[in-house]
Amino acid sequence: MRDASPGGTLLGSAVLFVILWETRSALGLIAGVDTNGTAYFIASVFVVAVVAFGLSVGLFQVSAMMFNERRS
Amino acid sequence: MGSALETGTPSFVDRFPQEAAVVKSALMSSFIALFLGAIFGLIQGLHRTNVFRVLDSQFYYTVLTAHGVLMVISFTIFFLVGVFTWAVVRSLDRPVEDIRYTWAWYGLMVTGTLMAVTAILGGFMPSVSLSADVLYTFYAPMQAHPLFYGGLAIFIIGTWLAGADWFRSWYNWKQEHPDERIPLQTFMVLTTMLMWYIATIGVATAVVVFLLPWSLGIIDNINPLLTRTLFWFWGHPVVYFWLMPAYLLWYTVLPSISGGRLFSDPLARVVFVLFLLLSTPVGIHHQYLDPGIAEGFKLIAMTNTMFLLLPSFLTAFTVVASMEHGARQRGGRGLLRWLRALPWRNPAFTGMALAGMMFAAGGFSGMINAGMNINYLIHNTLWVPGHFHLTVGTASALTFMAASYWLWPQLTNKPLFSRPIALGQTVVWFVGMALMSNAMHVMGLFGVPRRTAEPQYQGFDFVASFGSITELRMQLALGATLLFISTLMFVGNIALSSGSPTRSGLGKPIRQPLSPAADSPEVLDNLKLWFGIAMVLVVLAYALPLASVVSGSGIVDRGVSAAPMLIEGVSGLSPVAAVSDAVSRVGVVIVGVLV
Amino acid sequence: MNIHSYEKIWLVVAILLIVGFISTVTYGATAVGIDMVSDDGGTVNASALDEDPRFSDPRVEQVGDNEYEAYVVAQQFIFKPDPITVPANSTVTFYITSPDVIHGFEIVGTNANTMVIPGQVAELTVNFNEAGEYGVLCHEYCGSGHHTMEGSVVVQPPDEYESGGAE
Repeated sequence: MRDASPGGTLLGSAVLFVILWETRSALGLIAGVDTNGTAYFIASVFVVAVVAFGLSVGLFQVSAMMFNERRS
Repeated sequence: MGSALETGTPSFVDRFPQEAAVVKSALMSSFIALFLGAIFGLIQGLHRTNVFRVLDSQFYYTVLTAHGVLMVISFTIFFLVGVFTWAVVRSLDRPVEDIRYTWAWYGLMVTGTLMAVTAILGGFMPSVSLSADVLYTFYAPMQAHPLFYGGLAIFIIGTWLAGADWFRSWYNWKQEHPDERIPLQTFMVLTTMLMWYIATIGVATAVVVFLLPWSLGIIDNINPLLTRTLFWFWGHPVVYFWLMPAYLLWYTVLPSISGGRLFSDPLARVVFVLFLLLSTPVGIHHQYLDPGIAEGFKLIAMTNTMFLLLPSFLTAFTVVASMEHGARQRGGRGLLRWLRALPWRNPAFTGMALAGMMFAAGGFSGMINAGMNINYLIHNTLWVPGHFHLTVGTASALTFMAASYWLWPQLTNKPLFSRPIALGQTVVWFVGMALMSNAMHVMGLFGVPRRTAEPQYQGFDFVASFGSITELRMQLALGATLLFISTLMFVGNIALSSGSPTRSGLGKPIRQPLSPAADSPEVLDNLKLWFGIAMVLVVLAYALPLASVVSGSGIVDRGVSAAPMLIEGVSGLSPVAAVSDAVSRVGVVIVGVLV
Repeated sequence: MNIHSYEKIWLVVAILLIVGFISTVTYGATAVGIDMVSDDGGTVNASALDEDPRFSDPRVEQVGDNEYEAYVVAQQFIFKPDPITVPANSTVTFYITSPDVIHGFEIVGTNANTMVIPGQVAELTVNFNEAGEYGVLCHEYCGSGHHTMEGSVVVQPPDEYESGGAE
């Protein structure tokens, strides 16, 4: 049984990509770390693809399990 | 076609067919403006990044004027009058007082838009002296054709009459329901329009008293600092005019879509009252770098602006709390796990959720703009469009599109053509905007200017602290392209929905809030009081600055002459020839690839 | 009125944030002495700039020990003088105006940034430390040639400036 819905996976992937990509600006502007744009882009897309695949085949769950167990 | 009442909830068009026709027309005008504006936006995104230039650079400014006016005057405000008409009729549960009056103000708005847009598009034809290459801010001494100013004036008068229509409905409803609180949606509409009446004093004075007579030759001179200050008197509250319909949708529609109820009606009222009070006395924060305005006035504008963070912060809490309530109603449990239970497959929900997320980022970049001294680093750089594409460009625009997926079927009794495409559209918008706006913010920090056709200079280079300026240009162009594709997805989906078969039961109810209006003090509904306080604040914020501008450089400045914005003696191709030239070049490339 | 306790906390946080922002900005504007562009520059007759002793001959002038004044005219589509030459380790007060339309004046990569409005004089004081060359651009749309409007500020080592590099 899958823990993540297709809509949620699509959404989560988009949000994850945006977070990863914006981190590049933060690294550059605040930490002064220069990164190669093309390489970073490919790496981000790859990470997002892996996460999306994992979620959609139920390889890993999306919830914060620790928190749930304590609260239930 | 009368089967609608047999099964399911009657929709808005079933209950109020005449009003639904007006709402539909307003929304259609809005979507047409969005589509045209998007074409121009794509041209800009590809031109200034030097990726693909289809026009001579001087026409860029015609494109830019069209994009600005179509997007933030036509698209947003036509949508607002549509949604507000729907909201008032729905929440008061009564038809408008006189449908002919309603069509009349809508007709005025259309007339005004057509006049202004004709003047702007005239800029593409140098042989015609009709043009308005003055950008959406139309700063004097740059002068447009009188048709432009006349069109804007007529459009604004149309909105004034619209507000009067809704006040009239409320007033007559009040006679029949003397002891009831104002229904929340109507309350939001009325407070927004009160803010609009105050705000438009500035731009109406600038246009009707100065710019229009000046463009007609009735007066010879104007004071550019004065008209600029009057513009920004309106120029800040207009952004709340774009945002408050989005807030109305987040507060009254989003909780029901999430499966729950609005967390608190009273706090929603407080937020709207705060916007009525605080939206206008802040306009000078757009003029921090203007000579001729004393530092003290700028400091006052700064403190007022910072307080504007408060209603947005309150909104963030209430909206997320309402969503959480909805998620838990749908079975969500746990500290964060309830997020999963939200209806992410519903494009109306997802669009609004993504819009809200981006708005948080936009709000914070707005706080940077509000910081008087930090502003010097980013004023008039590409950072500023980066900021406002997150706020009006996403919080408003994406919410409007998402709400359309929910509302349009209730106006037409036809389901949406494709839910997956709609969902995809919101995601493509989110990613496209993130890429474009991120590139704009970063390039702005490196000094790249806004409103410039070719920000590639001879005497110096922009220095990037990471990556390169070229990469950032590519990112901007990519983002702009994704946004254009997303617009096509939206407009196409709505257009194709007209081919769907009519169905009944498409009505969507809105549930009552958890904490109802009765929980709040009645003084919140005292619109006269809040309007009075708002006027006092505006007078306090603007009387002295305006007086000082007038005493410093006069009501009109005889030393400043008009600069009519006509493109004369085009050095390159005329736009028609340039476009056909570009098309043939593209054709050669395509043929070369295929063969 | 029922306000949820979480919301009360949120409200307090929001107000603290706002007060914090206002304080830091006010501190920057007053205590640290970062001057904003204000009405100190006064007004001028935009159609008679050639009768004004400052703007008829746009130039940089020494007015004190390491203190200079730069009179700049921004017009469609150039900055005068071009380049604006100043010595290193100096404090330069710019007086900028326009005879035609609204322009912008920004020393690229810095926060020396102001609007230029015909009829008004923008006064902006800038500290120049090391020698180098900066671009200047106009960031307010001023006509069809707006994107060609650029200039430069050349900061020369003091000895080079003495020996006649100035205009």
